[in-house]
Amino acid sequence: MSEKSKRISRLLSDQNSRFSYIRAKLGILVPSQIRALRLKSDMSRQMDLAKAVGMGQSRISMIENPGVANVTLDTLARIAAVFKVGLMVKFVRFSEMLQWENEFSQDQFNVVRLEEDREFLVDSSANSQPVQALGWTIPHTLVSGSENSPYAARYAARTPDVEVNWRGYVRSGVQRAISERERSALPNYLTAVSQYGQQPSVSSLPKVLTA
Amino acid sequence: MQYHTKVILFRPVNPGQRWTFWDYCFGESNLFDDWYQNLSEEARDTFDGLLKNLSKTANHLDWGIKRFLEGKYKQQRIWEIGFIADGRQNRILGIFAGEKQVVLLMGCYHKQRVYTPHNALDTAYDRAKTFQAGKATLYERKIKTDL
Repeated sequence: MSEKSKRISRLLSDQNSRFSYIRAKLGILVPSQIRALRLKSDMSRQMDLAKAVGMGQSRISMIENPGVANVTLDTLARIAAVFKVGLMVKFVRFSEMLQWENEFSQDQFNVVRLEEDREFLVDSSANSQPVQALGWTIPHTLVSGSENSPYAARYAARTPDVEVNWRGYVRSGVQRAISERERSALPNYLTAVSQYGQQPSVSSLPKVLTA
Repeated sequence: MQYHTKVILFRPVNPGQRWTFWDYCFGESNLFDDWYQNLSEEARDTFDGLLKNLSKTANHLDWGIKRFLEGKYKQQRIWEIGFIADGRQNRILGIFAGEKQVVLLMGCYHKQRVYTPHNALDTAYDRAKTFQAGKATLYERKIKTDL
């Protein structure tokens, strides 16, 4: 019986063997991800991360120590929140876990931060194409009276220029750069607005923008 | 098991090249592997995972090396890296030996300031000197990608 067969047999029959196998994988990959995120952020020192998370530096050092697997989900969520990334904990097949370990590289591990996560920030209920009109500043006269955006209309009534997304929701404080394509589509949008006499409907807007 | 009496440690470097780890051996004994074989299954898995991860991390400054040993050990540039398994702090003492090459001198436990075995640092120092003198043999440690 080969060493591998023996190992498989133990994993199949012994819960403790499975537990230690899983823990060993997590103990390497979780600390390494945290280290990678930290090194690629503007908090390259453990001390800076510790301050942001509200922990001591020694605790961060401990969390980044290979083999540490007793970090709570709460702590991981706090760290994820500091780095502005999401966190997934899911149960998977053993083969998937091994594949994850084999393919993981601390150097190449990178997660898009929330502010750059366009897929998340753009309203997912968009008709078909991602319009990504967040950050457009539209004169309040074009927004007010819109049936789609009563809140935007109320807000616009008090504010000369409001930031709206293409459904008319106010995203106060969110400033997004718009692409050249979006910029060039803006006159079409405004023309459409003047033709319709109000903000175009949700379904017509993508067509207007890509016209 | 194939032993190498002399290892060519200076290879042409390419950016994607991974680190290679060598077990310190003396004569026919793989002294580093003796330590490895005495570890629990969980500790061996953790150690294997650690090496796999380190081998893909180009800059050793991103490894999380605990420290380079000071004092009389400084001359040999021995470093120490740790991992936790079975609730214990395990330590690996090693040296860099050329481009992307690492010699694993020995493994031990560490608690507060006490190493087990207690003469771990001295042993590592002696082994590093033996290696530098060309009297040691090395055996390549394969990175496990399977069970």
